[in-house]
Amino acid sequence: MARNVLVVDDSAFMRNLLKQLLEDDHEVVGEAENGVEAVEMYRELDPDVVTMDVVMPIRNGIEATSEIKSIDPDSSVIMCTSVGQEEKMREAVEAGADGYITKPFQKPNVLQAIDDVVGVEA
Amino acid sequence: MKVYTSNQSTEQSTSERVKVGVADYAVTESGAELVTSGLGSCVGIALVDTETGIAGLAHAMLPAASDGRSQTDGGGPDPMSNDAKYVDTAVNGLLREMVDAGADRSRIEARVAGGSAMFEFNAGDGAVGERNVEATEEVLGEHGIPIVATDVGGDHGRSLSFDVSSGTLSVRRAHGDTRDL
Amino acid sequence: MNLDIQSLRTFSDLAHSGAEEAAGSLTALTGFDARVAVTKIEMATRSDVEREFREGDLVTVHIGFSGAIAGHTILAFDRERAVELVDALVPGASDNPESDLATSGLKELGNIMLGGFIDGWADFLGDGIDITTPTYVELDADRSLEDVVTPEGSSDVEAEAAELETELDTGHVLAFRNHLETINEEAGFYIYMLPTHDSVDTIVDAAGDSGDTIPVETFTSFSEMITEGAGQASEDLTAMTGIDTTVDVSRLSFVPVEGVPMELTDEARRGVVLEFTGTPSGYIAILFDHDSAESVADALMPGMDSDPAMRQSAIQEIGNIVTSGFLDGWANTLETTIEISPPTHVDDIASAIVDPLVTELARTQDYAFLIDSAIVTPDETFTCDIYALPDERELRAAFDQLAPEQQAN
Repeated sequence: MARNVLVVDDSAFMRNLLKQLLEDDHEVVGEAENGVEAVEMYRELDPDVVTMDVVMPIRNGIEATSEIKSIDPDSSVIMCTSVGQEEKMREAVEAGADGYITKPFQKPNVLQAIDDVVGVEA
Repeated sequence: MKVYTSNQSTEQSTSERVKVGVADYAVTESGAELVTSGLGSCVGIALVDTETGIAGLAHAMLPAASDGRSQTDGGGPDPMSNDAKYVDTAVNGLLREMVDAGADRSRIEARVAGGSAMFEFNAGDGAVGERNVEATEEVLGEHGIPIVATDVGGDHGRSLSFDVSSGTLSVRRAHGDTRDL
Repeated sequence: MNLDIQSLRTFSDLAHSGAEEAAGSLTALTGFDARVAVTKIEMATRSDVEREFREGDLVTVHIGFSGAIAGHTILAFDRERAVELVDALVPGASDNPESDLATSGLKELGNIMLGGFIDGWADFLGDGIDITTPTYVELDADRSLEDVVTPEGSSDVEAEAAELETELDTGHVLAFRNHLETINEEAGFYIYMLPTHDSVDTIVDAAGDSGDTIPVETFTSFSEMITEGAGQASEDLTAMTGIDTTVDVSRLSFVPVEGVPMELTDEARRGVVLEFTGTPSGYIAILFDHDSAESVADALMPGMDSDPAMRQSAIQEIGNIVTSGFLDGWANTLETTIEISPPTHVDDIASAIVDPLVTELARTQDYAFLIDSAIVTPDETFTCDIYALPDERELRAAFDQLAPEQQAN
């Protein structure tokens, strides 16, 4: 089923790419450029799932994930990053991330991650 | 937390030309052109199964893995060392990959080029080019693979282009002289 | 900062697998079929790195890193290639290559490729490395690396970058240079990594074989010795030809043996190959492109109607002189003698010329120290490329001879 997705990435190119990739199956309800915007937009939009870049200006994705999880423990956050270091993945787990996608990703990876994290049923 | 990585196999190249580096080999199933350049004493070994079109090209530096690094470097072969550097391990690796891809050993034929003697060095024990060619003949002989054409020896460099669809190995010298094997 | 061969190998392997990771990302994102051609570790000065960017007219994406190790990584590609990439990433955006979306595409490509490049180092060290957001830079003649290394990201990274900048200013840094190429193009992509001295120490501690280290100052002295040798060779060339020459490039790098021929063109080159014996022994190739060889022969025999044999002899003599100029300083500094063989004339595929030299070395070593220099004339009359390949173990022996002298200074 279609989910409301908040896309968080400082790269306009990457937000665009994710939007195109998700548009057939889900709805991108918001786009944030940094961790601060991400938290504000999460409060405002209450999306089903967040795709979260890690390295961003102002506030990084790990910190933003921690905060979103403290606001809403039932939130679903999927890290979506070019950083594939084991140590960074551990940090993401500690922050409460539900999934971790490394860039470059392919459409099935992203769709599968969303299904796994929020479930396929209504 | 589950980690999703995309499958990035660099092997499944679909391009029309595949460049083989020094101490490197490549196999194609799609009729791509295999190219390698700058053979001096190195030897280029082109194999093709004429029926399936599965083909490979190797660019090897030295005759045998056992002939490579000496014991003075800590003893024994370096685990990081590259199979494609040596004629024996390169041919074995190339054949294995071709057979895995569906080639039939009994249909494979070989073309060999390179192994020249451009310089006479005092320090070396010489004739690496010649020994590379001998090693190639030996290891292909062990596998029962016929060598249908060669352009080896001499005192000049070569660059190779293997047109898999026709089985032609083009050998180019400096200043454009080309010979088809 | 001390270096040992095992650490250099580890560096080389990490840089190579990181570059392969990056090449895979490039292919996945753009469809460009890229592969890693050569991975080199260079002892570079700030001006070396700057010149490479400027002369190549390279467009670059920069990412700083800090944490387990710190420094800077740079993805560089030529301008034309940048436009092709933008088209592949954001179809249509290349009509307006300065647009935010176009540069955003390139920055994200840099982010993904350089992120993948760094991951392997972090995993090797079992620790995390933070990276900054990417910066897009066109390095033209008016900009220096200083502008580029100035970071935007976190203050940690800023401090580390300032440290790297100081090191760049004061002398040599270790630079990891990875050349990626696509099948039909020689010129491709470059990934540079410039770690701070402390970071080099961190990796040496993790990888190194403490028994056999060489202080980095020794590499620096050797690097200077090479620069002086190239300077002498340039002076000798000028004296013989009557044409002003300068040393354009002079560097020491550490590279897998099979990477050396791949550094050279597949075009024909003329020149000489010589063998030298002593501490160290090794091989040297002095190469000219066709027009340069003709110009040099003309300059040596002005107004003479020389036959080809005479011209060949002139090139051989130039090879002798340049080699002596290049190596005599080494012998003097190392207080040893280096014997030089008679020159063998070559006119062949450049990569095939060095192939037999490297093959000789490959019998006993997997990695080579490559010294490459270019001597040029300001009016572009000719370019002379010098490649020297000393025996690794003998070069280390030479380093050991250098070390006590430094302590005395």
